[in-house]
Amino acid sequence: MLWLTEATSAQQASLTGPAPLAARLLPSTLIAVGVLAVVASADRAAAAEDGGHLVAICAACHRLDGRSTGIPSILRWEAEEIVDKMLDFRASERASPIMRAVSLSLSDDEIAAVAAEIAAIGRRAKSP
Amino acid sequence: MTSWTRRELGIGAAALGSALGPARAQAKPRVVVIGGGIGGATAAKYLAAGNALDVTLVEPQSRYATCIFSNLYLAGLWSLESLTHGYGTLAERYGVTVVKDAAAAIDPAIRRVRLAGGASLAYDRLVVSPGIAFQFGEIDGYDEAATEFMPHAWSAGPQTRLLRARLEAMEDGGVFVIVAPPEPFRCPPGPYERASLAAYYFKQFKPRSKIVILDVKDSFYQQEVFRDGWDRHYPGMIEWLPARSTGGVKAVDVRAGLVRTGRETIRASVTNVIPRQTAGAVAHSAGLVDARGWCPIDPETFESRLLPGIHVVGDAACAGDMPKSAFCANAQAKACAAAILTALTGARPSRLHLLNTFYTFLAGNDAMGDAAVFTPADGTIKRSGAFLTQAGEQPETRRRTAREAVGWYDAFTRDVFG
Repeated sequence: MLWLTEATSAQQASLTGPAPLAARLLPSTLIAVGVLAVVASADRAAAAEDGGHLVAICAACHRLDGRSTGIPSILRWEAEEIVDKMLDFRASERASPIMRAVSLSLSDDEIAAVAAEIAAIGRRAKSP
Repeated sequence: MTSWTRRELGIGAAALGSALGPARAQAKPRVVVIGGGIGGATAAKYLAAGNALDVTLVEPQSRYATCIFSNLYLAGLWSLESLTHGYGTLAERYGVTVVKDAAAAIDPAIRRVRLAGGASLAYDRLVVSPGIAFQFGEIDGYDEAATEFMPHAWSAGPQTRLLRARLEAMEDGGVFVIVAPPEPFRCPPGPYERASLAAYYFKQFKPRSKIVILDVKDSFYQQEVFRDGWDRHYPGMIEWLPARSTGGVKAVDVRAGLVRTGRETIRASVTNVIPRQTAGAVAHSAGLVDARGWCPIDPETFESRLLPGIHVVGDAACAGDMPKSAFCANAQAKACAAAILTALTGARPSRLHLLNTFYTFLAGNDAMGDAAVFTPADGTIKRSGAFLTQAGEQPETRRRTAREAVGWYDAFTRDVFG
């Protein structure tokens, strides 16, 4: 898989890595601890609103009823676990080109917000 | 997508009036969505989800067959029924009023949509998601009537069924010709995936057959990955002829099964002509289309640059670098719904996220999964990055992607149709 930036054509790109887009979309340094701090300190009401909107991105590929038929369910994790996974995708430690693109397109705050919202949906799905 | 013929379908004016009466009494802002394909159904669902708007979806057909994965049907791997979805959940769970009728005319001055059945609908905002129409006349002898002999199968349903029947009836050793369209067209990998999956079918049942792709272009999406796949799975079966070597496709004789290029005439057992495309008919009649044949839009809100108050999403929109794909239509519809909710209800604006994914099959257990991210910039939408499948990947990676693709279709169509 190649991460291509707009400056490189699809057919002629060299291996550039994720740096160009990451640099543009994510001005802050990507440290897991920092992102977890974001989860803790975020304005909860605002985060919930952002998270609700952002879940629409997840819903294009993940079923939100806890079932899965080929794409893993995302409703079984706590918010912190989801943040960790997203950061792994961003750092390419988990091999999924699509999740890598999604994680690179979300800011740190957005990852925190969407993780909180997904975890909340997961808790509701579990409760009778 | 649907063709906007003026059929007398659905409920009459009186029934429509009573169906919409209670919703009007609630005095929520009214949004009408024209077209129940991927863009329109997604828009209707996400507009209605917060229960802040009165949403009406206008669509003449009661069920929608997706173009996505219709090549798997052509290969004999999926049924057409498994690609077909209804609007019941949008109505029952989300409160969308589904009107089975076609939009005959839009009057932006008084903000009303007139339906083919005679009724008219008032709107505060209108979303138009008409999909594509075909521009006949470029290839001599290929017109609307010719599609019954040489199907385009580029909107799913009867045309796809017809093409499958032709492939099934073809003798072993036959020649299947695919005429690939000029840019921009719905689903850039589609014609080449079609060749791959037709070859997958032939390899099992008609192994002496050949596939010839007559392209009006000199290159195509993920060309190296496709050619690598063809060499591995179907050596010698698929021949791709670019315009530079044929001089382009000039004419067809549908009854004799002949296709004439700039250099030669090919006798085909089955022919699939995918014509040049433009925005769906209702976009043209409403005045939403510019000289390029597509609908210019604001890259943040998908509001028409030609007619204020009307938004265009999906294949008909002129969305910069975003390809004409179901995934893009879905992402655009969500962005558009958020913008309309902000405009009509004062909901907090949110940052746009425009992504695309192509799951494309080279064989039953060999698929590629490409992803791209897009950003509004300089008045248009630019691709800010992409992960593209490379030739020579491990077979297990491709098998895993094929399994993922099946799960994606299930989740995606649930996201669209409820």
